[in-house]
Amino acid sequence: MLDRYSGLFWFFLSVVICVYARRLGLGHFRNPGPGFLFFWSGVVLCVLSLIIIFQTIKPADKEERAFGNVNWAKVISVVFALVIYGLILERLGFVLSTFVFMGFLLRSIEAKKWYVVILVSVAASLLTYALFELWLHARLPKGFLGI
Amino acid sequence: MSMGALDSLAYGFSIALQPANLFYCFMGAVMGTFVGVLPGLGPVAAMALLLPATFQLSPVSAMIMLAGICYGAMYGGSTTSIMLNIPGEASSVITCLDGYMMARKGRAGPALGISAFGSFIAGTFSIIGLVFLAPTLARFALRFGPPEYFSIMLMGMTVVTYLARTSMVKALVMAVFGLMVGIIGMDPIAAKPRFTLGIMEFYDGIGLAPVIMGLFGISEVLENAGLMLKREVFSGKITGLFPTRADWRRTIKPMIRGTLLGFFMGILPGVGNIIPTFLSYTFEKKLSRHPERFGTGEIEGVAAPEACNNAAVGGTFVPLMSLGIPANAMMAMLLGALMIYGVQPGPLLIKNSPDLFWGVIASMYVGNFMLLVLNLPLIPLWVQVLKIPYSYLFSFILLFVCIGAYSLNNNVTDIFVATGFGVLGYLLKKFGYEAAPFVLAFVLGPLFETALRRSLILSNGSFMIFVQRPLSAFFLGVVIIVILLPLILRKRLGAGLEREE
Repeated sequence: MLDRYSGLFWFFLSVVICVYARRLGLGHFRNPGPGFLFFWSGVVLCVLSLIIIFQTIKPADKEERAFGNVNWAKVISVVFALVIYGLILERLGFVLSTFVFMGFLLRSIEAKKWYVVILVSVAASLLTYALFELWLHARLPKGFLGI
Repeated sequence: MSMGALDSLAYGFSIALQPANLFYCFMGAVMGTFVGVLPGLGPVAAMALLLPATFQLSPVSAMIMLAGICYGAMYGGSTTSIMLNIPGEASSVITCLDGYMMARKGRAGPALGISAFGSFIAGTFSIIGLVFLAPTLARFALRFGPPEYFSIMLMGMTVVTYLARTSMVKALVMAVFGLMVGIIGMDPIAAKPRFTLGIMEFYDGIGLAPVIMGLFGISEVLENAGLMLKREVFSGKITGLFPTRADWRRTIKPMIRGTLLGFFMGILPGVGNIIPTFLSYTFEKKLSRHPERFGTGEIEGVAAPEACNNAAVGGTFVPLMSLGIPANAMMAMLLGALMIYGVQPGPLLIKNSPDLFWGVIASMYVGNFMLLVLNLPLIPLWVQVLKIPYSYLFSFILLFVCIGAYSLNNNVTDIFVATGFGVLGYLLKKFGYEAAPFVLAFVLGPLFETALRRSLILSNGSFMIFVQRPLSAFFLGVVIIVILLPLILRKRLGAGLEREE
């Protein structure tokens, strides 16, 4: 069943790509345009996706793939943390953002005790700052505090 | 000819063995190994992170340090591939296959040991090869025209899908998808943005480093976060650090084969080190008396690809130094660094900057030796590092990935790219798709498209050009065989392996 969903996804994706590729211009075979490879790759992808879909119609002789038990809350939290980190990094600066980021990860996802969270987060932000900014001159973002 | 080469090599050693340069080589190797050990970061990220450290130095010293970082990161990356199943770069994916399984069986020590020795042997050989063959090989490589490039890349991509552990159709989907994502950006000829979704940072294409860091590093973290049960990163003792005599006997021939394959394929411009490493694994599996054991912890499956990888990197230095053509992201980074230092890469490099060329080559040998000496005794140390509970480790992994991604262009967009590809990689795994074909196609994408367009312009629109030129026809023949073989034999090299997972 999973394969049917992914097959459909690829199918629609390939159609969209082919449509946009034509707009970019296919050019001629003598002088391929910007959309040339996109279009023909899209065609191949479309064919492959149909093969995948058709394969799911035949009676399956192998076990059905299953997602398994997934702790979606944790997965989404990690993604959330990464996105937020990216958003605050240049505003709050490296040290502060890293502190928040590590704190969130250690507390919300791993549920460590508060003093552990704060200790490790502070240590992590300062140590990585020292390593990357002071020693390696990596030019990390400085926020409104200047660090 | 060879007298000249030996003289030049002696000159190179006189530069490489200067105390200052020895120090820079050492620093590069250590820093590179450290970054390479960190899960999710590979040689490309390591060079990106540590590049600013080299700006204070003279071009020769800077290149020596950078080369040390490159090799160090590769050694370190093998460690993470074996211990954590997180490849730092595309070619490390192969090491994960059997290396990680060996570690799970408690044989991490021999796996790490054989990979270090294999890399050293391969590195030594490839440097010797470089010295004696660089000028001649550069001349042969010039005969590769666009059709040959196109066909060899197509061959590489199909072979990779043949190797796939899931269905070949799915692997082909990944390859095609990777190709398309790889060519996102400004069209090189018409100067039109393509599929950039309005994001300016994508005009130059999506960066390889954030993609790899996300696809492998972040997705692995997500995988572990989503598990209901806590999973130990690395349990069990490491019994015996050194490979046994039996291990040596089994791996000496694979290592030699891997080295030769890697070096001679790596020389060909555009091939890089990914294709040979994948091929080496396939060959060893075919030649083995127990091919079904590959993927469960066969030491040949670690020794040959590791040797091949190192030899191929040595090989890829040839087109870089003699033609100024980078074969992969690693070489592209070195090329960029050369330009930052004010050195003009290209055929004139050897003539105009002999101290750079020969000094770097000599120091690569020194570096390889240093790494062997450094790494073997330090393996217990790296193991201790990796025994840190995953609940802490994963947050640091994410942090280093973010820093690494950011420092490539001083842009947070790269963090978002890495995150996005992390999510993508995670979903792909769940739906049963493999990332490896995607990565290869992604890297080859722009080169592939350019080769295709140039070929068609050359031939005035005729596709016959690919078949009329003998070398290109040969590669295309392999493509057809690889696609038809599974249909005819109803059996495939990698098929069915997934069921065992």
